[in-house]
Amino acid sequence: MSASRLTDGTLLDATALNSAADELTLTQYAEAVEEASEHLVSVIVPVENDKRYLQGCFDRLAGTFAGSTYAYEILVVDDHSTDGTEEFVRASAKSFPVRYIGLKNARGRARSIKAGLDASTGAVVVVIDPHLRCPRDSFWDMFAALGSAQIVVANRAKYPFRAYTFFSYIYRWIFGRVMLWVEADVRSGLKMFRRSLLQSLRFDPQFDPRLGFDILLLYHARRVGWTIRSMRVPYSRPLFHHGVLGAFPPRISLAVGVVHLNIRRVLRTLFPFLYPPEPVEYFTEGFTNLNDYLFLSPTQSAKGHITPESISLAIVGSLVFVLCVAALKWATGSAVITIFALSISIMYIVLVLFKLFIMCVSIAHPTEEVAPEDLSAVDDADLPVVSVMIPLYKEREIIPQIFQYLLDFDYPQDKLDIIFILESTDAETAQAFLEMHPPAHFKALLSPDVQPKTKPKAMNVAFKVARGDILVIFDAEVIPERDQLKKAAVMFQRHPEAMYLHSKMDVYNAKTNWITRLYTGEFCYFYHYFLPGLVHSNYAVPISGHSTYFRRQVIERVGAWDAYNVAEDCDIGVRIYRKGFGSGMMLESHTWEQSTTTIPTWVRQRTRWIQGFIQTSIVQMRYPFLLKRELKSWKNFAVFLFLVPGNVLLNILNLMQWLMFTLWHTTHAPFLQIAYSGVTLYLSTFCFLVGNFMFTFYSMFALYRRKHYAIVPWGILSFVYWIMLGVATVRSALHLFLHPHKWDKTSHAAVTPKKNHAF
Amino acid sequence: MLRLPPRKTMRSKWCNVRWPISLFALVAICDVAMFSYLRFGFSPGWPSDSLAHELNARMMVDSLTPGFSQLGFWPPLLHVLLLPAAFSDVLYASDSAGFVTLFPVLYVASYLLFRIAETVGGNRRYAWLAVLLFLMNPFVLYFSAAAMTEMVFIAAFFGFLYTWLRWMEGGGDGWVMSSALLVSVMFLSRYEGIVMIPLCLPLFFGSALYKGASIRQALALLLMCAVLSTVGLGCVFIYGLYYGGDPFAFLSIGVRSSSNVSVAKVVSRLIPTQEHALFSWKTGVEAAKYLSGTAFWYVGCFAGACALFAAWNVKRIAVLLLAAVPFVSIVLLIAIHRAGIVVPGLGLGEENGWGPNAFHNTRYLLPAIAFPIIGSVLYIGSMRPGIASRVARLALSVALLATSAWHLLDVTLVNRFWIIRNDVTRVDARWSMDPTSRSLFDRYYDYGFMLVPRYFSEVVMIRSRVPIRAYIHEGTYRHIRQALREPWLFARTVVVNYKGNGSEIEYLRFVADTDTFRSYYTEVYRDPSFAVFKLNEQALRRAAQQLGYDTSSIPSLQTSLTPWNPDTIYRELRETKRLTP
Repeated sequence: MSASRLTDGTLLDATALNSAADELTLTQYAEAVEEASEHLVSVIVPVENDKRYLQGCFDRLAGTFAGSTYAYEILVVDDHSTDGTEEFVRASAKSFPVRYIGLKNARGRARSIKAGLDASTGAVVVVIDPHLRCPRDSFWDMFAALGSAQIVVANRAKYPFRAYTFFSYIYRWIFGRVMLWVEADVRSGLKMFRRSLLQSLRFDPQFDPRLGFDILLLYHARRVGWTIRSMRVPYSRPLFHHGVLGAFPPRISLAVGVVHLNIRRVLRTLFPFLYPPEPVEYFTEGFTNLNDYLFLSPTQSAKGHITPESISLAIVGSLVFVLCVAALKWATGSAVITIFALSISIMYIVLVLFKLFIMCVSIAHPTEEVAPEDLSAVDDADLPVVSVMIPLYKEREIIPQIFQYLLDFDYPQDKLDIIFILESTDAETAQAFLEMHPPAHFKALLSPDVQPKTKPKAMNVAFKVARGDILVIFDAEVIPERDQLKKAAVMFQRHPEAMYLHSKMDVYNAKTNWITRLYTGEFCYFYHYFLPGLVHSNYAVPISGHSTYFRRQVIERVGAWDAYNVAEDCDIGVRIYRKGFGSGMMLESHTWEQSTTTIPTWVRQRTRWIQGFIQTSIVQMRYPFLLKRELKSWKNFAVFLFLVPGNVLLNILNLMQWLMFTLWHTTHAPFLQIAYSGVTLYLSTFCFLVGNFMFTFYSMFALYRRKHYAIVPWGILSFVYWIMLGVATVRSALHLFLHPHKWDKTSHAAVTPKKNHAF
Repeated sequence: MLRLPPRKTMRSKWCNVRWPISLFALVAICDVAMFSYLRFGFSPGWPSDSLAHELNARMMVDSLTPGFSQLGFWPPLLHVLLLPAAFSDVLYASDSAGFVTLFPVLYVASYLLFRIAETVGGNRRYAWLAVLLFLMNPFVLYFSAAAMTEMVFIAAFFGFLYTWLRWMEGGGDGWVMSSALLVSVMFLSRYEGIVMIPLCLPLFFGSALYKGASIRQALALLLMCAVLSTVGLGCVFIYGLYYGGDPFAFLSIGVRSSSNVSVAKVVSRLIPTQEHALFSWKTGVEAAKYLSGTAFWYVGCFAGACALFAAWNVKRIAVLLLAAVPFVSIVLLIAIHRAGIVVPGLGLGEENGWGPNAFHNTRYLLPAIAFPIIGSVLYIGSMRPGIASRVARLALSVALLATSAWHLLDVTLVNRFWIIRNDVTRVDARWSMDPTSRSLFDRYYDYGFMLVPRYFSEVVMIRSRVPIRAYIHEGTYRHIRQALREPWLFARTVVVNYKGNGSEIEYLRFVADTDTFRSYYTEVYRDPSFAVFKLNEQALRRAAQQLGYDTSSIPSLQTSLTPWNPDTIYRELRETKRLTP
């Protein structure tokens, strides 16, 4: 079938296309369908007991299209007519290209048009009332206007009498111009638009039938910036064809709908966090943005981290909190400060118990291991290509260590795609790289000198050139176990449903000083007892910034890393979960990493991490209800709140509890006596004692289980660490406003790890 | 011929759950029978301490001064466990709160004993024997029906033994940490548990080395166990610091500590002096014999001693020695004047004026029953196979069961808990058991505050219909001092006790004899034990009017001021002229 066969005004129907398909290849068939649709006009005629007008309507349309180069189809959508419309339309199908569509359950003109659109196939859609008489020339004038506009509306040029004209103008002015800002007859019975527009236009899930489909169309078209043209058309229609009283209900209904729409518009302005953009755009296809290597849509990125949504949410959240406090004050008669202290204590208890629960889950469900015999049984030919991405910046001292473990990997070297990502301004590291005489499969990629200068941007640069089916990032200072890649490959083969794998962290300079010892305790707890519990429970997890193995399509589907988020690992973990990839699986393999050794370095590193957590909280909570929907349940949503914003909150609460407790014992200040009285005092004391005891014990327990026996006593000093964490949290909150996207790089010393760690 | 592996049938599944269910049924039958016997058949009466425990638990949420302070300086765990049951009016008023709370505890104790005996005896039949011996002890059942701390301590002790044994039998380190935590639980259930702390730490360290741990690992484990086993001690320290101003308050008032923070004072008057170490040992043995039955005690201890030689297995011997720790620790506490135990025949009752048949705190020795039970099972389990051994096993088992049964019958039906009936603590509570006093309280209560000396009132407070938050007593420590100074400002009813000691009681006696008191109160009842005074409201109003004072601020006249804030109202009253005619 060719396009020429469609120019004679014959009906383009499935039978004709199917017969053509017998003769053509599938591709040719698809092309033919597309071409045919381009020359097809779908005319939707919503009817409800309008049989008497249909014959005239069909005749007029046949006359209009006679001699034109366009084919047409008439879709009569019947809204439960009882006057024999169905029989009439089916009988007319012999003479006209008409199809009958009956509404099943829902009623209303809007539903009729929606059903017609769903069934239509033409490139251009015309909605016309059955009793409307439009001159042929005007019709084609409107059609021609579609060349410069997306929607064309016929404005009625003549009304039957003056009062009608007056009220129609008033109506159009109030509900069209004032409320919808549309310069067109909102109740026009004739509209034309391109059908392709509908594909990119998604209406609210709670489609409001009172409003009428055409009003919604105009409203959304104006919102997204399409051109709406209105033309004065001298069309006519029977006066009060449903009786005088029958003229009121549709007008009242439309007015109510428009008012409702405007209320929603105001709400959308005041509470933008309630209304995510429709459709939700996560990232731009093709990963083509070379300006800053941000592939995510603005709503998914920390680029402009403080948005109207965040501000609105913060204001509303604060107001709700204040109202709750006021209600509690009214109900209990307690002082505001008491209620505030009580809420802090309750939050603290919930967090403590949650961490205990996750730890118990982790102990009860050990990580699945890959036995040595399984590894040795793997055929190298079956192994996938793994892209190892190593972002480096001023790390020349560590490059020999990196080369050592990379060359020592128990993985076929031809299946390794190793990418060193170097900054174009860092000549020293590049020089050191070259001096090592890298083998052929070691690639060095210069990250462009564009803002932001962050690790996630570097990874986005590398991701575009990586060729592996599995992607993994290693930081400069880390040392993975030599069979880790192979274990990851086996686990991916064993569990096709696993989209990414978390390896476990440990510290190779644990005994350098007290900071490294406490750091080790924290890492042992998190990576060996907290993360596995979260993963087993399938909660959204803040993943590690390195040594996490991704299937390539996961990164592609989530739009890669957020170049502006300084804790891109936490952010991508949540986004992966939102996309439905779950929380991955644990990999029973260790990566040894270097702890920071001085307080300033430690504070800088923590500031960046916590700042990233705050950024992630802000970005992910821009549309909290959308987040809840994508996380699938309120439980997952609550866990996200515990893990990401709750983690930051816990640091601050801890600091506050310590401060308050000290002040309480040293000063017995009156305001503290009010704040901590009765139940609040008990709860706060419980939080302080039991909470801190449990956190201390978690750390000691994890150290013991990881066989860091000599470090176990240092776990008792965990409270010093929390005070430092509190300080870092306060610093990160300041940084969020002063340097929101600055990557405060952690400098690493050249520490020689013990042989037994990895090699 | 190919042999298929055995299928997991319904029968085998039933076998796995059969013994816990059977054990539950056995415990339920024994405990319910004993509770019914004590409650409805023949009642020796509950120790006044048990009623005080229930009252304290309830006062944590229902009193003028609710909160942890109502725990006093008694070990807190029982009160916390009692809280849900004590909060139920039905259970609380019918003395069933203790039974409801301690029934699960008794089951847990029996379950743990079963597992211990199964492990050391090597046979489930011996485990049943151990549980039977345990449940046939009348005092075990008695103290599971009364709200007393002994059963909680025993359950925690069995838990400690079992978790340690599991660890030694190849369990993970979680078991030994649980064991250390249970030492804290023991301490929180009874202060004798403090003896376990210095004892268990070398035990854990040595056991870790025995299991093949390196010194470094054993030290790390020791540290973690030390942290866990002293958690309870830490909590009590902090509690003492808050409410007594002294972290060691629980020690300074001895094992028989006062129940309330306002009377945290040394009560060594009640601890008889037993300076001779041998005398302490003798007291301990005598008390244990009374509790376990003489015949059973000797047979069990003999079997245990034989087991020390017959069952030469370090772990099992260690369990047996650990089972003797409660007995040894109490003897030690007697020797250092931290436990006052009186049994007839040693002269202590007569020395302290309680009579030749007086008992006092013999129940402390109840956990000592672990030694003869575990010793017997271990000995039976360690006998070699053979006809002679089989006969010996049977004979020993029958002897143990027979002596236990005899003791049960003797205590319940023949002597009818004479140890309990002659206990000094119970005698102290005799005045308040008078049903007349309860009805008097109900008769004179008129929705205002009632000032009572608490030492007198535990049972009455439980049994009468007066809400606990209406009482001003020494437990309501923030209010009692003001109320004693000028009772007419606060209490509409005052009960003066003419028996018993205590600063509050004596002070109230003194105040009640003053003319000022008599001008505001009218005596409505008097007997040799106590008197009840009702407020003369007109006299108080007249006095207030003369002084131009707003009567709506006086709690005794304005009952809606409940509870009054001692920091505000009383200060206001003090700032004006005192209401003294």
